[in-house]
Amino acid sequence: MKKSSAGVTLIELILIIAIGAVVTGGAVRFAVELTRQGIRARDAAVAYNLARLKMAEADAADFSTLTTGNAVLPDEASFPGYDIRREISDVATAAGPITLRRVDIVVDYAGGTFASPLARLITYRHNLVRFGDGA
Amino acid sequence: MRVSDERGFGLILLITLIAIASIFISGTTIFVTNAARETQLKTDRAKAASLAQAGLLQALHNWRVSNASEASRTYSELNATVTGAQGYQTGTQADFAYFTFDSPANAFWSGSNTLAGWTIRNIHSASATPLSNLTVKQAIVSWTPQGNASRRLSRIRLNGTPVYNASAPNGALIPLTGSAAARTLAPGASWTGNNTDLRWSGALPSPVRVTVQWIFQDDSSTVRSRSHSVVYWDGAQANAATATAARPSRHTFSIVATGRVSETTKLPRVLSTVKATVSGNAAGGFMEIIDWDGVDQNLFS
Repeated sequence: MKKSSAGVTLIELILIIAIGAVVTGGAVRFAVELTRQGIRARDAAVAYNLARLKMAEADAADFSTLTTGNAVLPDEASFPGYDIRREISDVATAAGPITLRRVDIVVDYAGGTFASPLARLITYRHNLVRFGDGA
Repeated sequence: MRVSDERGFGLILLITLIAIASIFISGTTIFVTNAARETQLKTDRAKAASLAQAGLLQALHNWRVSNASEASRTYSELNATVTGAQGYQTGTQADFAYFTFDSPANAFWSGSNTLAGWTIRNIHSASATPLSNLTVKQAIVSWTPQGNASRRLSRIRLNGTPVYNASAPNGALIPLTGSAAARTLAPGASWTGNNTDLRWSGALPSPVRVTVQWIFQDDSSTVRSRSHSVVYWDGAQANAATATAARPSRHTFSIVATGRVSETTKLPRVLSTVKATVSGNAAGGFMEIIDWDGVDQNLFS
């Protein structure tokens, strides 16, 4: 009875190690993936906040400074890990000239290609629309 | 007996550990998933708000280029995709009511109890339906100061046809009466002139500030169907010929634009709506956004 009992405990120990290894391996991979997602979400949140900041600056800028084309904007000093680009294109023009332009603010990791950016905000600006004080 | 009791102990321990680990992993998963979802909603809201502005400016652009003369400009509702599953839409009846007080007629006071000569024009282009007609359903008329405590609004006429004939206190929601035809403007048509007026039960104080908000037929339970609160007069009463700053010189209308961000091209995930009041005749040929109010909606979370 004693012998038999000791043998079973050893087998159980081996089983524990084997099953535990499988479970731990899966859990570690899962944890890595979760961490990766969490980091991406955090980076995306930072990127969108930077995009909103730059979009607000574009909204406040004089229309004449919003020339068409792509321009790399200066890094925000506190966030050197991100590159910010402003893309401007004409949506419609008319006599006058009366011009409607599309403004994209795109944020990617520093050194990124902007092919699959972390953040992209899109809006329009018009040269004959201004935001008044309501007075 | 003691040894015999140890049988299976390791397995039970393993199962217990797995159970505890499962609870821990599940909790972590839920936490990380919720955080990611919240981040996604925040970013979608930012996208939708920018798109709403895009829709608003596109509508203003269409209005501005439709005609060289402000008196003949029109536009229609929009529903556009900017990129992928992102886009904007505009358009309710309230978007197409254009208010003027010095063109083509001058607003004026008649007998200290009647404010006449104001103009509402339907600036919808005739090409689109069903929103091309404007039908008013209700109105809110307010005046400051109140003056005589028993003073009431007693009549509203549109091009000579009474659409209200009763007694309404200051700021009340007034249900308009009469035929729908009398309360409807076809594209390009106006209510204007001496027989378009607000009348009170007696003289109002002078100076006085009168504001009116119109509620339109299309979806009257929401603010989207309401015009902005329009100032009809602000100062000492005067006749039509008198040049006075009390007669509003801004020609105003409101636009509601909604930016949308979808998970697919069909289902909106987040909507951001802005309602802007626009002055169409600002100095230098500018259109000026004089008021701006935004609302976000998360449709899926």
